[in-house]
Amino acid sequence: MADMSEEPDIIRDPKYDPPYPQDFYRFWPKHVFKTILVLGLLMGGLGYLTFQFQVPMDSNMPPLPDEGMWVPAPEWYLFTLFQPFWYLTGEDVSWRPLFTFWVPVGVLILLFAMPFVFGRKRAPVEGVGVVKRTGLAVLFLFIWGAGIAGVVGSGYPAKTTGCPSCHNPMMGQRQALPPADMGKFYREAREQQIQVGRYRIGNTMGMGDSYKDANWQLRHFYEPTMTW
Amino acid sequence: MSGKFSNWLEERTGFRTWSRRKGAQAVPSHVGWFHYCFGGLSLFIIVLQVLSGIFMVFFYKPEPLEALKSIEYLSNEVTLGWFFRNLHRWGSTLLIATIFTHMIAVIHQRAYRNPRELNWVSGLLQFMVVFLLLATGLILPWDWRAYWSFSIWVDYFATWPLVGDFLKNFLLDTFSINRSFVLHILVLPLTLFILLFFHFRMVKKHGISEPL
Repeated sequence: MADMSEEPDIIRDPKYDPPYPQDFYRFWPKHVFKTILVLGLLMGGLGYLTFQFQVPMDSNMPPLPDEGMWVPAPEWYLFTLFQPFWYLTGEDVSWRPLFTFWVPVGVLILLFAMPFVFGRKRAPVEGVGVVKRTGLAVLFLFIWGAGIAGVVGSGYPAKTTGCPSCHNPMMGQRQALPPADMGKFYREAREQQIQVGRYRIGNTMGMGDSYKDANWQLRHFYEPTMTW
Repeated sequence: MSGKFSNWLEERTGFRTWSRRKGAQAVPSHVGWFHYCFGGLSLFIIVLQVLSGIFMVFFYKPEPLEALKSIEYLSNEVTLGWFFRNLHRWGSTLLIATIFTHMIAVIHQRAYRNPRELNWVSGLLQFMVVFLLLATGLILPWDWRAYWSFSIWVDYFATWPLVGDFLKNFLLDTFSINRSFVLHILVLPLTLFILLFFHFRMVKKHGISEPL
């Protein structure tokens, strides 16, 4: 550790010249300790999750098919995007492009345009009042909550770690691994299954009775023991 | 003796002077715990993803019939392999959430405004790249879960107007585990690092945004 006994006063970059608010603290030690604390909490949380919720990989001891419900997983974000396949079935299929293309693209365009449309003027240095500040906090907390709720709501039913229950070598090669030639399988076998097959039980969960298509795949992930 | 060594090292490297100057850098007092920490947390998770990914790349085989077996070997036979694999997976799960939270905080603080337009644009591009990293990473085990995500992605792009059929055929014709692997460990990380570098240069130039 370098000798800090002769610590200089605060060094302020020109970018923080007035009218920027002239209230600062030193990077060391206050900000360093804050950073260490926050990163420590993150590492602790990550460590706990890593030990507590692991992806089962022992083929001799496969998990139960319903394992993984409520456990956050990267697939949850995909479920959010793929919801049009869940809700828009039958006669509503034609509406899918609205939610798979136009809405996402529109949101992205709005986000990229935001600083050029809403941010031409530099933010006022004097800030905003308490009431407006509180209102903004509530508004964006709601927006954040809506996004998180969307991900959680669409992802929590998925049994994200239960797949090896049936998809394991003991069930045979065809059941254990997906096909190597994805293009051929998608165009031929999967398409044939979609066209010819029809889900044997019928409509499940009120969300369709198709077979092997995207809608079925969502149903399979949500209820693997009912849709297979 | 230690003092002499310290002085010698200082003359050669200037580390003591550098650390004093860095330690004395001004941090605006309004930098609170919530609004301004998620960008740093995201960066830290990205670093963890890189380190854990480097570890796993020594054991992973990007072949359809070998990919899952290599991951099983990593998880069951390699010391701490299970830890790095699950850390990588949990890291990707939390990373999207921290970046999203950071984005909302930036909007709330109006930190996208003049003169920080390019901070915002580069940040958005990074978000997209990270999402692509998630999508390509899910495919690499090539288990039925990977098949699930890829086939629905194909269906997803097939619904796009005008270019849907082209994108569908492009994905089906060009897809391979090895290509996803190259994208995941080389192309996308390199793109992300370039964007990160630019993002940090912009932050350094324009500083932390004013408080509300």
